[in-house]
Amino acid sequence: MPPPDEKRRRFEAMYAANHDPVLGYVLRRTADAHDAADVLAETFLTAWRRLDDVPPDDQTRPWLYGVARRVLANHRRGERRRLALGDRLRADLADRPAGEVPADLRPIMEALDGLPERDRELLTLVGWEDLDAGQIATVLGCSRNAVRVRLHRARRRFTRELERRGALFEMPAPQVGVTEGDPA
Amino acid sequence: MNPELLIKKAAPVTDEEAAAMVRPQTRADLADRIMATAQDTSAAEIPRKVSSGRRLLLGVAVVGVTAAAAVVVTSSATPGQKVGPVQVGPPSAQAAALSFSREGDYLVVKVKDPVADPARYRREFAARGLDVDLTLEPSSANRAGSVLMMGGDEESNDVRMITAEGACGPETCGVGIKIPLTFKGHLSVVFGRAARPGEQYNTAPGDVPGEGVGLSDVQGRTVADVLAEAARRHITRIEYRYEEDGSDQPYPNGIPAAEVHEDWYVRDALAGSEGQVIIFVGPEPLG
Repeated sequence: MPPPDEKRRRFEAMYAANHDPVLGYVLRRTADAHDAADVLAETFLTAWRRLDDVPPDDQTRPWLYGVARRVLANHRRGERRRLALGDRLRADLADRPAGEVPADLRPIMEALDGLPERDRELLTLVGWEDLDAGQIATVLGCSRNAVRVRLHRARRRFTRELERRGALFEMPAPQVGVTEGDPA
Repeated sequence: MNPELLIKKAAPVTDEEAAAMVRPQTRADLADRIMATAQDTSAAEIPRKVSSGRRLLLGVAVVGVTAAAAVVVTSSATPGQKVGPVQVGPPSAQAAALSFSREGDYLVVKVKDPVADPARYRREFAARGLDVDLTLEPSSANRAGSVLMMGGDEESNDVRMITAEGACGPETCGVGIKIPLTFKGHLSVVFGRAARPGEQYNTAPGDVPGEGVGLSDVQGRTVADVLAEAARRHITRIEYRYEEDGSDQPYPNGIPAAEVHEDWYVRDALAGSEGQVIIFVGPEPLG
């Protein structure tokens, strides 16, 4: 087992590199500043406690997203815990200006909301977090192939949802890197 | 434009915007506080008791939960009513314990009989091909009939809560659940039922501070201040829970009133039972 100082250094490096993306991930999925602060605090607390389980390199961030995703799901079910750890962050985030989605993009958010949670998460992990199939597999705890198959279906359902809302976006056949190459 | 590019354009917040919301000292403070907690590599579980009314209260004597099974109250359900392709009504001649109705692609479920045997709820869900465990826990009158907690497998993330403003006193709360018609997963859900006289509430986490206790905005005030307000409102039965830096140590089972300092701070307050309040206190202020 590495000495305590080594653990601290590892955690600090991970925290510095991933604090903003994980906060971004959470804020893109909840409008509630209190929830966001709690989820961020609990995610990094989990990472600290399970430091030896955190995968290295480009799998670290997806792993953290996966933890944040589960904590967020618990919050949505009403199983929320207020950690004293997140108090300062809660205060900072409460002051933030409310992000408004421009009117012309609102149908996109509505179409996303109309999808099952699994589809929504897949599409936003590509669109918002810019993850590839291998990284999404880490977030969701499933195989790369499953990600590709589900993503394909999710795109179709999203397009249908958009059309159902009569939203006019130019939408040629999906052609995204994720379905094509295997980056790892 | 492919779907993900469209979705990208509609991102509510970028990572850069998120970064700008947090002060540098806040960022450093969180890392320090996390690293100051014990590192436990075997159990990833964080002590669930922190600020978690549900677990805390479960630890306290919960009276009469099983007794509920003995009481059967006939509700005013309408058996045999047909809504969409879903047969609404009880599987037997007994009045329904739950009400089911259809709304778009969802099945809306509400509790009609809050004192039915849990097995009856299970049967009524099973009759519709649903694997749902519904239980009731004693709550304040405000929270009776509302959703205290939901859990389940991955698919249960698609189950939504129906919220109603003002249904639980001044707060918005869940009054029912919406299950996708295609749902094949497992869900467990806990609704509140009015506690019997003297019965301890098993209130869920996520309750707003001071809910049902007649004390508003207790967070961050001193113990002396909150006690003065409690006295004005004739609340005399008070229990304390200790909380510092995300931990309930060294008082995992509550802290005796005599050891609570008047200049400590209140983190939260929950209704323990009718006329009794549980206050979460700690020596440090919030934030």
